[in-house]
Amino acid sequence: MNNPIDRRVATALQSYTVLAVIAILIGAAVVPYAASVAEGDEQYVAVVNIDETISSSSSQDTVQQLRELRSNESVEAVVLRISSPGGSAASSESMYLAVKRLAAEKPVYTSVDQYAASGAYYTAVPSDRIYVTPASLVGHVGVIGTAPSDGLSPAATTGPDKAHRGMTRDQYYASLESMKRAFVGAVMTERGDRLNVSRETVAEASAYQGGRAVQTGYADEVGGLEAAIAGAADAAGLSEYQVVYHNPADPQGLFLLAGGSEAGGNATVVAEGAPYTFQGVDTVHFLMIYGTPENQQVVYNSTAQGGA
Amino acid sequence: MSADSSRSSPVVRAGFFAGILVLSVIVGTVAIGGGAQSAPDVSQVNAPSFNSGESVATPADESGELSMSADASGKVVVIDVAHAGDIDREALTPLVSTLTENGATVRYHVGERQSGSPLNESLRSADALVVLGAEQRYTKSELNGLSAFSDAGGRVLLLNEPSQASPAGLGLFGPIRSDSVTKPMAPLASQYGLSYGNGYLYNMHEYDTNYQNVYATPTGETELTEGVDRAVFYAAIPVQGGDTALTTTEQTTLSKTRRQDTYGVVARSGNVATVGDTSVFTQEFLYRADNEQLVGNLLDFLVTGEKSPADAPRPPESGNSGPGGSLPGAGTGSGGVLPSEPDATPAPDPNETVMSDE
Repeated sequence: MNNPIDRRVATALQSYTVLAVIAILIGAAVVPYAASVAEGDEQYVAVVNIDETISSSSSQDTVQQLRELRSNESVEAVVLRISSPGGSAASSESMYLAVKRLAAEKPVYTSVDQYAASGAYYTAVPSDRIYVTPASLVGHVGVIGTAPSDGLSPAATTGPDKAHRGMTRDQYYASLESMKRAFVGAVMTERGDRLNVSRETVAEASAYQGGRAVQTGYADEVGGLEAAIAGAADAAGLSEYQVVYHNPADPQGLFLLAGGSEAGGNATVVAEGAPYTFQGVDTVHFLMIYGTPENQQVVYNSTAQGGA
Repeated sequence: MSADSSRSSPVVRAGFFAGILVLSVIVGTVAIGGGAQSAPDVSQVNAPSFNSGESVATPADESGELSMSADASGKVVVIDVAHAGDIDREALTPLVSTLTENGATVRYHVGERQSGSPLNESLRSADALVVLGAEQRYTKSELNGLSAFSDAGGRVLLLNEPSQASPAGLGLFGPIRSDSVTKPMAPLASQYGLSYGNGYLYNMHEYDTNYQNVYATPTGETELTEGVDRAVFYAAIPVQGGDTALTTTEQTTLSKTRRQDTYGVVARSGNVATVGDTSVFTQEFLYRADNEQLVGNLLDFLVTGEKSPADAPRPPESGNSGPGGSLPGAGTGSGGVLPSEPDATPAPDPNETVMSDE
């Protein structure tokens, strides 16, 4: 301690001012490092793949993923890569709400691959921009379902509506109409001024492809996934970013059989799988799905048995 | 630097140092903006179309009673099920019971295939005929017989449907695998100057719960539209010719052409009336809007004809091997009302040339 420098340092360390200055300097040095450790150094555009029929479980997986991306600080923008014919009505509504929630906080862009039809368009519609390629199909805004019978139930029931799926035919049609109003209303709200067709035309459930989809205002631009990623990054103000891919949902294994076609073959569409249903139990299925199967019958197993 | 501070204990100084360090870290963190995000307002993620007052549709209102004003005593109404496809006879219950309650006799014409009598024989003892969307073609003799029947004052009600208009159990038919008009109705209707459009009608602007349930309003004051302000038709087929009694509301679209127009759905041509829909007779649609009034008027129409000669269409002359159904006034008809006989086992008329119905 005979070194004069040591003595000065010792004296200086007894000064509160010096201590404060040193503490602040250390703090200032630590904070950005700590913050970058927490965030990772990178900024990300997340691509979420939605390429399955929308069912209860697939929508659950996707909604969960979207929530994680929403709360992840390093994800600056999200691109939905959609190639889905839609699916269950209720699950499509959940997807719509989740995407809407995400879009309220971060740029969300959609790139449509094969189709974003019906319930999948419902999913896409809150995004800031929708990109299509000339063959992509979008729209088909509507609901289909099988009307309940109103005959005498062969089963023993405790009340009249315990048979035929809990609703009369009139109630069923009213439900269908309510779902349609919510769906069409959502499209009108989200697309707003960009839409060049009337509410009634949207309700006709037409599906549009590529350039026609842009003309009608169902989509914004012709371009692929790259264009959507670049657009989303630009919207988030990113000059340097990484792209991370997520594929939250697996395809489902339940089929809607469309039987009795002239060709004799059964077109199969993957449909909603409830956690517990039995083959032969008559339940109402409201679907927002591309195509209108005739003589629909929902079969609950992972392989189509043929014959509806 | 005060002497106090230089003499203060190292512990105090260390505490002070740590305090400032923590404070600066906190200040820095806040300035950089790490930590939890703030949640958006709930209203930001609210879907307005889910919660507007308009978003919930209510089931269609059904009220009223089906009644007839005409006296149907002694009248015989024949319902042709021989030429039709898969008719759900139970769906016709309101029509049959109302006619019966008012004194009419209702019979089904099942045709020779089901060991019934030929159509002309069924017509001979009938005052009115109801045809529901035929699928089997009518033979020339049957067409002639029908023509003679209506010329003599027999009433004919033709109900047609676009094929594939009825999901199972909704209309009177099971699904048919084509989407064009049921063709056998065309020659039948054309005898009376009536024809049908191709496709089904819908309205995206004004409808009863579903776009396929179109509204129609009377074109004027006619027997058929008495007490009807507005009727509802399910997936109707347009009818042309005759005197149009009801037309659909504005902006109704025909599925095949996608043209918006007001289309005729009920028309009358003398003793023949046609409706471009069978659903109005089913319980599901009978009590909507003023359908029960319209159906009541149609039932009155059926039983208010005065047939003369009463046995038209007459059997052909004996030895005449041509098609049956001679013109009224020709030949020697019995002139009397035949006793009504059950459908199932008819006594064939010896003079009737039985036409093979293919």
